[in-house]
Amino acid sequence: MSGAPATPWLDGPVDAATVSAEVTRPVFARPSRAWWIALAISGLLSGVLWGGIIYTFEVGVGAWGVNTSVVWGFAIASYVYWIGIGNAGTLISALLLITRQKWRASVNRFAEAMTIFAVSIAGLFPIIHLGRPMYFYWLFPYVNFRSLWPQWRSALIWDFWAILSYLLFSIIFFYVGLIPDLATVRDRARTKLTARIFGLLALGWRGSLGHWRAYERLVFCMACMAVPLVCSVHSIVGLDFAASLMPGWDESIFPPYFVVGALFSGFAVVVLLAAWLRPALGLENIITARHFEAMAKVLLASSIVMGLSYCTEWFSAWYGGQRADVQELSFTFGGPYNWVYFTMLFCNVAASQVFWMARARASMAVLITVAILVNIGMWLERILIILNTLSHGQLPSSLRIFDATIVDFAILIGSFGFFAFLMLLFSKLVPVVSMHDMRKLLSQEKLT
Amino acid sequence: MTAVVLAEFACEADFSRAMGEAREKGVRIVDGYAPFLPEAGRDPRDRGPLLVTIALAIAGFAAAGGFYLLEWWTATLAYPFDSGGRPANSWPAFIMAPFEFGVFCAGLFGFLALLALCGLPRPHQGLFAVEGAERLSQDRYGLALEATDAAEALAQRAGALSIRKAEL
Repeated sequence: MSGAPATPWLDGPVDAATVSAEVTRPVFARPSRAWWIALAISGLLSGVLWGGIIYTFEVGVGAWGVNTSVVWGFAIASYVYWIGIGNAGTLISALLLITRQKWRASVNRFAEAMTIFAVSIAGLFPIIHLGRPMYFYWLFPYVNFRSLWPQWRSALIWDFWAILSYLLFSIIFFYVGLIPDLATVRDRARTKLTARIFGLLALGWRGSLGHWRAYERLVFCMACMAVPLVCSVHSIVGLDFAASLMPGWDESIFPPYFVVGALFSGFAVVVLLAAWLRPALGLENIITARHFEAMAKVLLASSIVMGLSYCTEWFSAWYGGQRADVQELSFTFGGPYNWVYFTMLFCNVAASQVFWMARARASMAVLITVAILVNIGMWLERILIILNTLSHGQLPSSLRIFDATIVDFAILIGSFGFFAFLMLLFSKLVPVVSMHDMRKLLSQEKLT
Repeated sequence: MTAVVLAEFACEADFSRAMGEAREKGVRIVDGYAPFLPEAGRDPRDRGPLLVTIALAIAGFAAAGGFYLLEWWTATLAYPFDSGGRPANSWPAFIMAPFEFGVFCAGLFGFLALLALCGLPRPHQGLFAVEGAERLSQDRYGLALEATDAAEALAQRAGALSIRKAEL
């Protein structure tokens, strides 16, 4: 980039006018050929996801590799994985706001979009996993002639309310943050139709000082509520496992361990999204090398916490002295899935250690590679939590190995395609960077 | 509708100076417009933020409390059953769902309070008819002062890019 850095978090000569111009450009510009190709590929993969789901509805969960011992398979692993990605977006946005991190402005918008898409995808998995998905609404406390009500003591009911509330809350948080930027798009629109659509979406926002004061208070309050909400949502997902009596699951470390895992995998996805959006939308001045360096440091710190969590699991199993736990641990290291476990340890703990070196944090190739490895590792971790415990169980008679089917893989790969499809649409339809937060950053740095 | 002098400023410093001078000289500020909340725009006397907080808190606690009551009623009166010897009103297990639902309702009602306070949605309004107003959401600052000669003079002194008469 030419020119001296305008602030530690921006490159080149950036001011309020260039922020508005650069960020809104993709919304008005015709999509590039690469965008259309990516949309077509991700659309095809989305078709694979929906095809797999329709096939599952038609045939039943017998189309998957689940069996009488391993009753949770890819679907629940993917559910935990996507919820983790979803949790990280709001956590990143809210935590960075509360802690007044200036680099939040460049990443919070697409991190929040990531949350909405990931949680929506996550919500599909428990439903398709149900043997009779058409009755999923039984989780809801509606008045019925049988006078039946949900079992409130079940972690699965907590899950339903946690995901539903979190998704709706995240949509409101995302939309509130978007309103002033929708007004900017409205005011820059070149056609009446665009101005009218964005005008309606902006609800008539005019940037009055009174509006801004109420707005800032709402965003801050929502951020303060979002942090415990996110922690509780993924803790509840951890309790789906920890509230059981299965060896390897019945551990008090699960809730915090899941929250850190969510932050870890979510940051890795934010790195990948930023690495894609930066060159694709010409946002090199706004998403800078320093943002990537900060995210690399977060990945490094998270990987250390993940490593400590794994060590704590091993120690607890050994020190607790429960035979089932010790057997489960030896099954983890010596059983048929051990190569997956070692791969997971490499991806989640070892790979990020490269970020101790400043050169690695500055290299996009290394960042992207590690971010992909972290995501592979985190998905493997979730499938292994299921397989190592359920394949082994309490009794030798329950030993059964999980064999994934093509339908399992179709739904898994399709979910990534569907996520990419939604992100591509998002990148074209709304500003991917929070312009008003950028302007505030410029003001704080006295560059307006 | 109020007749105003709408002064447009290129930078935050000029806008802030004009606001300060208007307050000092007793020129009535009808409204100010900016592409973010500048420091000069903060007003501790404004009760809007407090009302948002109150709406949000009341909705959150009421929703959580209501949800807990629903759980209590269904588990103890409407559909009581013995689940592994646990008490009918298993309050530690009943806290999770009300918390989640309460936070969602707090966010929702906070948003509704914001809309109510700002008088939104309102797609058509006087400001949008003013020439150049579209820059106020991008990189310019606007100060709407009660239409008087003193207001016009103040805007000129403060270095306004343009001064227009408008009805807001």
